[in-house]
Amino acid sequence: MADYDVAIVGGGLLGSAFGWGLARAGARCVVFDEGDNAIRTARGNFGLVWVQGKGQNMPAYASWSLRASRLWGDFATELCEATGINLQYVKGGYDIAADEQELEQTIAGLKKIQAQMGGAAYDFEVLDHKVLKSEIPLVGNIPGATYTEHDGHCNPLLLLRALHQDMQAKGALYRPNCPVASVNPLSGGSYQLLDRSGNVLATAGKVIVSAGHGSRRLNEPLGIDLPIRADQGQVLVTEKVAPVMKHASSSVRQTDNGSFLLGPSSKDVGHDTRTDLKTLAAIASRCITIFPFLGSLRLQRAWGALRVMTPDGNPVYQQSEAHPGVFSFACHSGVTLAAVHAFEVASWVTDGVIPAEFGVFHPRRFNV
Amino acid sequence: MFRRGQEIANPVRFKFNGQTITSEDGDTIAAALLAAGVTHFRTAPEDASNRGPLCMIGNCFECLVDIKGKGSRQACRERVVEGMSVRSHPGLVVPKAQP
Amino acid sequence: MTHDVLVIGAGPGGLSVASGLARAGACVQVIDEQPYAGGQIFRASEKSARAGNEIRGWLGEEYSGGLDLIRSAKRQERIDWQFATSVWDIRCEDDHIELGLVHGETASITQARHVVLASGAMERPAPFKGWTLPGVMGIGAAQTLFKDAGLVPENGVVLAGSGPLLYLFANQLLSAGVRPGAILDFAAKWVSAQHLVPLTRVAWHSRTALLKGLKWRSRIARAGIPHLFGVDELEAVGKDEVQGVHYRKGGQSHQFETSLLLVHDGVIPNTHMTVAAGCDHNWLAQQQYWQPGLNDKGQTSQQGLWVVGDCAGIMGAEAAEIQGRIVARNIAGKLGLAIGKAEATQAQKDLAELKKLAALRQFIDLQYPPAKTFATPADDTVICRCEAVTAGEIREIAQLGCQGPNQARAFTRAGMGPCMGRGCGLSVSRLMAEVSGNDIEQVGHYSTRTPLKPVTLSQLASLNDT
Repeated sequence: MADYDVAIVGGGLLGSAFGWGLARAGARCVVFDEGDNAIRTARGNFGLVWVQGKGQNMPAYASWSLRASRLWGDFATELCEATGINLQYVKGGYDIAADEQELEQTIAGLKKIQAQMGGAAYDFEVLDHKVLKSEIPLVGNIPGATYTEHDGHCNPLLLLRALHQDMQAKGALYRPNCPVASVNPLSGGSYQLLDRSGNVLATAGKVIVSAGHGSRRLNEPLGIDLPIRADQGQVLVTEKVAPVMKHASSSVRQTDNGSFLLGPSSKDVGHDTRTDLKTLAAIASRCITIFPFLGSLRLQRAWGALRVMTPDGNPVYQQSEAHPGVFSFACHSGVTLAAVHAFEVASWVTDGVIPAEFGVFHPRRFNV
Repeated sequence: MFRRGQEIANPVRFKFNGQTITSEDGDTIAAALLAAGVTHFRTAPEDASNRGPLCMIGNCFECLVDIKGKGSRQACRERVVEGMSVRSHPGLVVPKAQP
Repeated sequence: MTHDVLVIGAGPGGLSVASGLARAGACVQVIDEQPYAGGQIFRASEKSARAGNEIRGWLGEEYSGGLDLIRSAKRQERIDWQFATSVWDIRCEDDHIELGLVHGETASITQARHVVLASGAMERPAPFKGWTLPGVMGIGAAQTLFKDAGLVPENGVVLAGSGPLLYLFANQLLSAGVRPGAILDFAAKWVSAQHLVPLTRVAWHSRTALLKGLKWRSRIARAGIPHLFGVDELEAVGKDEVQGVHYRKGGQSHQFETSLLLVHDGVIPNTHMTVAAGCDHNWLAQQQYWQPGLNDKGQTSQQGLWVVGDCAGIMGAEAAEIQGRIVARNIAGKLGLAIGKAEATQAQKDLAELKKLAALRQFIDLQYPPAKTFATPADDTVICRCEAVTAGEIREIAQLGCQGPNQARAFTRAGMGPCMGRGCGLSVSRLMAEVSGNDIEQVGHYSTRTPLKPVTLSQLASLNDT
């Protein structure tokens, strides 16, 4: 018999949500993680629980995000009750436009998704300058914003900490500084996870490969295709400020401790997490247009993080046909989707079947 | 805590929390405040405790003050300017709408 | 590129490297945060050299000697001085290094093929109960106030910690007519038997330095200042500021009333910039600090990035000056500049002199090791002052299997505040090593991000237009 029901490769927001969901459902699982200086998307994200604008080319992703956002409140409450860690989840979010053109584009995009979803509850409001200013008095001379209840934000670092803490409390084994080099099928349908020297780290009935940019390396020998690339996003953080805005916006948000997060940019630079001054300057410039007071604030820090980007930007969920029981999951919305990953995807793995309605997320869509 | 080892030769006056402080030309704001008996430079935003200078070489950020027109600055690195207005740093910046 | 070499820091190391390069014919820019040259050791030398200033006399020859070095560098026409300027960004590209600068309210970007970091040292952060109270400062910090503004502590100031700086500063205070209330010395009174061998090895070459130390100590004794050796624990007490200090010595607790507690636990290299530049670093176990790994020429693992002086490893001002000369010759060689005969002879002498200084440093390091109490803070001691994170929280996270200091920073916010982890970096790495049982080298250190020094968003945004 295998050591574990499920072995998860990757201790980021995906792997930890699966680990927590599985441990919560009573599965014996182990989470393998790399060291402190690995490429970590979970430490670099913006902290949005976001629906607006997602899935313009795939309605299933729009409804999947919507479903996640509906579950997020319960998810945050359950984690908080278990760990005492308040994830600082706040519902409601703006997409603030710096100019007229941005506003028109955002509205057009949202209308497109609304039409594609055929009247499902994908509602949003358009706020003109006056209304927006009445809600956030410090906003600059800009045309307005869109707003929906489905969007929101949280503290993503506390989310990761709470998942790590509680999955261990629920019986999952967390193995940091323990890179997995390969996954070996055994006769009888279970799998062996090996380190670089070929030592067996564990055997498991099922395996989830959710190692972000490290997933391809593990997948290739198993014949699993995972077309992802690194999309760099740069984020700026300011010094701490007295409360200005409660709700997030897609490019500026005030965190629970007072600092403002500005960003995120998008850039294809390979596996380079360094910031560049041109991008940082452009982000700062746009955000000062939205909130002029930001100009006099000290930049606290800036970083680049590497989103896991698929060719269409939508998630990949797949089970290997050659090696049933090996699942490979990848997406760039680890915060938003954490709720569905924990509550729903974890049970796909225990059942050994990805429900037919989620077949659209298989990467075969890229081969058409 | 501190006193001046020698008398002020070239006085510069500035305001700290509304009170006028006379210092030596070329002093850092931190030196000028410490010489005037000020110990509380900033309030730590996380536990609301009083903080004052620790390192004096720009590393610790415990001497943050709010300089009118400039915002949060390190008192150990900024030099006094006649007529400037300085306040203790409240921990969280209180933003103002721009005209 | 307008300069061949950019030198960051105008202390003894930076002045020496810049002078050497200028003499060889290179075009050099020296960047320093202060409005004048000298670094921390010779801080404000030119200002205090003005007529009628008594400060120089009180501070003694350890301070006044720096003026010659400053004046000789200032005579070099090929040096372009960029004072009151901080470096907030450094990035190493394939064939050049780029720096982000702020001068006054203006941000700019500059670049060169070679950059020399001479950004010196900082006092080792020494966390103990009550150390966040106003009125707890570094001895080096108080000395900076003395040099730069002629501020002296009031009578009754308590000096605590270990190292020659305690004795030097107490002497400088006595010269200025200040009577310290007590010296709480973490070192033993006499050289322990195990350090006698390194002592005899350096005794003759370094007799001047050793005698100076003895002279400082005897003056403290003669003045009747209570000098307590073998202290092993501190606590600052007070409500909104320091009112007194509790200390333990030989298992007994005692206390002094004071409004100013100055603490010193040695100095460590300023590695914030070398870490940001992506250089490799080594852990020096005996002195408990990180230092950039350098090749035999003084170059870091990043092409074109050189380090001299205390930011390469603590060796003191004299060594910094020598290292500056050596690195200047090495860079001049890379630039294809001719080195004179006199310079070549000097090269041999420099290496011999550095060896002697290294032996003296070995003795000082053995006699004044980092204090245990600051390395093993109690659970309720704040280690990250900016975010008010305690040692206990770091231990708790480490027990959860947190991979290292960068993950600990993400989980606890330690190191995310304004000082960017300069104050708690060592503590966090050490606590994680303590819990995991791993070596600090395995545990690692914080990564460092832009900005290294304050820059506002408008200053940053202004780079968008250029």
